[in-house]
Amino acid sequence: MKLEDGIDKEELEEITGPAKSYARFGALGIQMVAFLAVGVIGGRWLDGKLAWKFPLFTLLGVAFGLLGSIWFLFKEAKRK
Amino acid sequence: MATFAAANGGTLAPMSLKRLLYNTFLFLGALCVAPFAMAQEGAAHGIPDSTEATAHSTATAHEEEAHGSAHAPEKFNAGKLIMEHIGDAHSWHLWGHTSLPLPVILWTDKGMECFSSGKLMDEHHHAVPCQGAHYTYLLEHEKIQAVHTDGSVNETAKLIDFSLTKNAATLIAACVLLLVVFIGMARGYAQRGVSAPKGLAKFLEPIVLFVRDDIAKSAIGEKHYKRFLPYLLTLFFFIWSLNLIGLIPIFPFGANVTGNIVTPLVLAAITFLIVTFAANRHYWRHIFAMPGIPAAVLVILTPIEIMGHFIRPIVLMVRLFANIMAGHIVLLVFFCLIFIFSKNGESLIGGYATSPFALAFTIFINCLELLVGALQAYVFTLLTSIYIGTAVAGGHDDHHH
Repeated sequence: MKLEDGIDKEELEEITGPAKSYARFGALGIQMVAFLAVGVIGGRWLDGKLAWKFPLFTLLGVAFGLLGSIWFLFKEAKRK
Repeated sequence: MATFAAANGGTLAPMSLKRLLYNTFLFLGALCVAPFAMAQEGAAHGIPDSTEATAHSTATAHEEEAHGSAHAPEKFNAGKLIMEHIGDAHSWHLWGHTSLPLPVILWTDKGMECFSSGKLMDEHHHAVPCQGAHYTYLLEHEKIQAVHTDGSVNETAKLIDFSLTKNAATLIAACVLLLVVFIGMARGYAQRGVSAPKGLAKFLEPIVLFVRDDIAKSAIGEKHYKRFLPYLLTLFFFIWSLNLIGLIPIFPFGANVTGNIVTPLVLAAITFLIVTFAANRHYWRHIFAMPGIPAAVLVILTPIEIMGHFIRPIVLMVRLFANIMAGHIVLLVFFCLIFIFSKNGESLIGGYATSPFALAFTIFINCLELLVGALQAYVFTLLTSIYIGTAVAGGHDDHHH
């Protein structure tokens, strides 16, 4: 299919290919950070509220954030 | 760019290219002179101003020094200048000490309040208390506060600021522009039927087709994409136009709308609502009880998946906001270098030596930002369609990108 400005569709897909990957995997980077941040901040907030001696929820939050970021990385990598 | 290409029928003829180059150089020349003219003017008058500071200083000037006595010459503070430029404002800075006042609309616990933002500033751009019908108001770092007559903040007064700020005005202008362009285009198609597009449609039709075929169709799938296409097209052109408007440094452009967290926040919230309400049972099943996963793992996985549902729009928001804001900051940093090296008009040699380089970099980054503006609009639209795609996809046979 020829588009208006003379580029045909296959060519256009070649051009947009890298942009598409950039969009998908670039978002993944921020997603990993966002997960970790939510885990850590959430955990710290809970610990602050509970005022226990041991910062249990901060640790749990970190673990949760790490697992989440890796899980979504795995999911995105699996997707075609 | 859009109108230029469209005016030439989508192609750049050799003659027009020459003219474009000529105009660009003229523009660059004018830009070269402008900062000096401003710096000299400021130095001559010795008037303190936040945007063209008049004292001799470097960028490392401390904030507290800049805030010192109101009428002492301020030191040039690049950080402060940049933050003021990328932020929203209650008045529209035009040049020097001239700015366009915008309407201030306040909701207070005693009733509505409307006045011009010009009343909040004196002729030297310093905040002055403004006596309203219910309270006295003071503009503190672009935030309107109710104050007592002695100048202390009135803690009991509740007010919500609905002012038509620079960003709000740009937002409305961009909406009107898009409506005019696209309604005009739609009318053209309705009148002429299926034929070669004319005018602006010649330039915009391939882009509309691109959003439809390469973003919506490929990410959402043949079956469902039509429902979401109006939203996706609006999103793309809205973000793109605002990104471009933000890159033009002169009035009535230049408002950093997409680089202000509020705009991406609202757009991402709309995407979030669409995904939440359009999602089918496959999507929710994959979140709450992913098939083929043992129950013990689900205890961990389900909270993660639920969190993922909320985090994805946040990612969308952060991405657009951070990219556009960073672009504006980089541009302003290069521009500030001229003022820093010229010691704000004191050292002419330093200024003239830096200007060409700073300007070359500014123009380079500006060109890059033209690309980034389009790319971020594309990315936001693509990610939105990917999220919608995952929400409306059928079973495992309905694969998408």
